[in-house]
Amino acid sequence: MSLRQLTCANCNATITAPQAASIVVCPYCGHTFEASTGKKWEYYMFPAYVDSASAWRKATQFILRRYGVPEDFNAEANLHKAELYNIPYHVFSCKAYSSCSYHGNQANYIEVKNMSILATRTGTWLDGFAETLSFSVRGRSFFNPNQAQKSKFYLPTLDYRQAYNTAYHFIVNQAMSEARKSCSGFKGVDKAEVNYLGLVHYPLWLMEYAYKGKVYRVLIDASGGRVIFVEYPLSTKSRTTMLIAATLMIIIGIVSGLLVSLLSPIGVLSGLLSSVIVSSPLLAKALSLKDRGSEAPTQRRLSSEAWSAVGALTSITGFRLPVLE
Amino acid sequence: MTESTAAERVFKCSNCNGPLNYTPESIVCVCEYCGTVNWFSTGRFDIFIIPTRTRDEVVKAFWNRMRNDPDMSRVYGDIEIVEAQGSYVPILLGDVSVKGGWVGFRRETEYRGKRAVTKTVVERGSFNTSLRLAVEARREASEYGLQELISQVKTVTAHPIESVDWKKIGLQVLNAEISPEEAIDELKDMAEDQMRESIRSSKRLDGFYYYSCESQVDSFWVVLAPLWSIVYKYRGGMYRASISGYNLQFLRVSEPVFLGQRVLYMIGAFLAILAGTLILPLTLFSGGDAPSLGFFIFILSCIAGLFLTRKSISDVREEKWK
Repeated sequence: MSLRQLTCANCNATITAPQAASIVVCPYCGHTFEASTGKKWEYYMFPAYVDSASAWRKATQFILRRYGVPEDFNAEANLHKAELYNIPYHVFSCKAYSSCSYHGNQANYIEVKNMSILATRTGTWLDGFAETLSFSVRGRSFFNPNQAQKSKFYLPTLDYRQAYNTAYHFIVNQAMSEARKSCSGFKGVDKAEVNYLGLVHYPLWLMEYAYKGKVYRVLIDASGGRVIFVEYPLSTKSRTTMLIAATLMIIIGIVSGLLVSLLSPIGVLSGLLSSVIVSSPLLAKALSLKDRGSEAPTQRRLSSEAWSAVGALTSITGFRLPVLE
Repeated sequence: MTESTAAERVFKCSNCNGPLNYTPESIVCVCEYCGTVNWFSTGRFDIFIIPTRTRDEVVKAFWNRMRNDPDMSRVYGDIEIVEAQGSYVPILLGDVSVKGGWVGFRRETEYRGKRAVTKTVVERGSFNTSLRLAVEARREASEYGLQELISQVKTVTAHPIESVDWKKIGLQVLNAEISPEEAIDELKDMAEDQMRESIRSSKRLDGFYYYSCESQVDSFWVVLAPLWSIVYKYRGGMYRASISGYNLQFLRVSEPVFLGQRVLYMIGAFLAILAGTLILPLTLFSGGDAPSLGFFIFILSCIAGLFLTRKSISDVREEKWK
């Protein structure tokens, strides 16, 4: 990445910024300006309430409650890297009005949403998480020089106009999909308002620890304290247990399938299929090199997957869910 | 001339001069020390409060539940409270009048002998009613148990903030960060969506040909509701519980998964495999309209099995207030 030197108009400090940076935040005084014009810019930062020691404590406490973590984890895991990343986002408040006419009747809808759009890529593995990170657009606070200077402080390389367009498209799509849910007639978005609320920095702890010679990664939300992502080792004992359970499942599936195949030829197939599906989480976990976890609610995702599977099925066979009256 | 940086700005309470926990988003700050309401915007709304019980009562309620829970009581001695913290969370409540009409459809399948016939049933209706809606007046969605608290708060009596004895019930107050204009838009958006979903589920509709909803916000106000969060430790792992401060009810709690429970989940998964294996072949060759039913049960038992297997190796069990 090519760099350039800029002078802060407020405190005269020399700022090193990437060539592509559209907006520059002075890490010493917080003065924020557009690189090309020098125009002052709206800027806030999310305070890093969580220090590195408590971030690491949160990570280990989260890992220790997981299934299959080796018993000597606490004694053997060594934190060797902890870096605070301040990641820039453009934030917007969006509002869109849609309408629909159906046989001469007109209906109007409103959709409001606050949005944050990742404004740069760090080139590290945290980019994928930063992109999908959801945080409150509110809750931002004033510039803190200490947090800016003792961290990896990234400047935005995505222009705010591009981010604006993304936000605009998003809210228009959202309003259209709301209208689609409500009405089959002719519909459109009448008006969309997107307000740029400025640039924010969101702090994340990126950590690495070693356990018996292998390196594992950790990502903690330094403002909200959530565990965004952890990797951790699995004990041999738990791997063996899971493999045995999975094998037993498949054996039972095949044996019971063989029994039914006396009546119907597809018995073995259905037995194999159901046992492989049911044992898949065990196999996936037992055979993975490192296990992963996150505080994000996985259960909800699973249930929505399940219901979309049911939905797909009912559309294929024309079968309706039995309803209990 | 250098302007002072934002970090140096300190806002003080108009009554007791104590420092306020002000952020750029704050519309209003309630002073932690004396309970005075300090406004930072011209648009105002009424603020009410639901007084909390004391910290001791909350902690006692936590231990009571753990002692009476059949699973947790066995490890009662190994639990340790790491942190117990309460705060008043601002919740926006609003009464919204909604008026509109809808035309919806439902697909129904009939079996005539071996043939399944799908027909579309059209239904229509209109409504003219008032909804009471509640939404957080700030957007840090990570607060554990908050959604449960919000659904409780609609029906609880709240008091004008000036009428309470702040010395007795004072707690940290999270700032309301929603302006009156935003509040109105947000409530309208919510009213539209909620009305549509309630019609869809009550009439069992598959979709709408038309739905219109004119919403008008009649009044809105903010209620400060007490939310307590307890972090506890069991064998090195960290778990959480959140308790509503006014009736000491458990809103949400995460508990460890014990070996016995893992075994039970596993047995369930084995049963699901058996069900899946047997049902499909048996129904497929019995004729009639059974095949689609068999296929359906097969998929359902696979999903149930998958769910149970995942539970058997999961880390926490979540319980929620309903």
